[in-house]
Amino acid sequence: MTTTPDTFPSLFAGYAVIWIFIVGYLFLLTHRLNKIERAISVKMSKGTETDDSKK
Amino acid sequence: MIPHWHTTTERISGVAATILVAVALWLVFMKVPNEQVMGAVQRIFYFHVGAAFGAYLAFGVAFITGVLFLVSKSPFYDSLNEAAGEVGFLLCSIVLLSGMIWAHSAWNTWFRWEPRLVTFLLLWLIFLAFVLLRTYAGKESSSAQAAILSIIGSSTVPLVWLSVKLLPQASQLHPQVVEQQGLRHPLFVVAFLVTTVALCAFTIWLVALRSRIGFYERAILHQE
Repeated sequence: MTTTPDTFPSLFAGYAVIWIFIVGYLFLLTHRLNKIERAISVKMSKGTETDDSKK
Repeated sequence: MIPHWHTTTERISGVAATILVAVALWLVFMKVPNEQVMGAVQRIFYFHVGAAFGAYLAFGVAFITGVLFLVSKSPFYDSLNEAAGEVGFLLCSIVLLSGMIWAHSAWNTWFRWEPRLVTFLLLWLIFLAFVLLRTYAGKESSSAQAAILSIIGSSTVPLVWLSVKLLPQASQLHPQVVEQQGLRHPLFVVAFLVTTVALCAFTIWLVALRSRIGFYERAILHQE
């Protein structure tokens, strides 16, 4: 009869690494996306103001 | 201007990935029985192999967009190439690290110089160079070099795939589970397929999300 070893700590470490990478990357992406979208909207609103003042 | 199909792909893959990853996690942790020899750690297999398939998919996209960029010089393909290479590198890192943790538990060693592990490390190193080039060499000046590097890197994927056949199975530790029909329990097969599809959908979503940032950055660069 074979006894199954207790390998739960390795399983925990493996999935911790997987989720740290995935969540970290997603956080980084959404942060960069929000920043760049904010910069674009500021630029666009400045452009509209300049156009209005020209008129 | 971001094409309409790109936005649609991003939305559909985002929803599909969220649902499928949740189902995959439920299957892996709640449904699949413990493997008898390795115990609980065998559950790393599903995300380890799924992430490898996701990485291969991303590298496939990097290869095609790399060629298309060199032919057309379109910033659209450049953004996609940058995104696919970066996402592929992330998934490659996940595969390497989760594999090392699993190997330490199952083989009592973190790494072994055998064909599959060495070729995969080589793939990871090429895309590490790609990410460093993209990050530090400037957006537009490095595009052609990065595209060529991504083509070279992606060309090593078949080598990684076939590497386990270079030596007899008895002389290497890395198993050929899928090729040799090693998944005996039907739930192992279901969990494996669901996880692989989930991580491929997740890869598509990440590439779409990352390439949107690239489009915006290039649009700002051209306006200035």
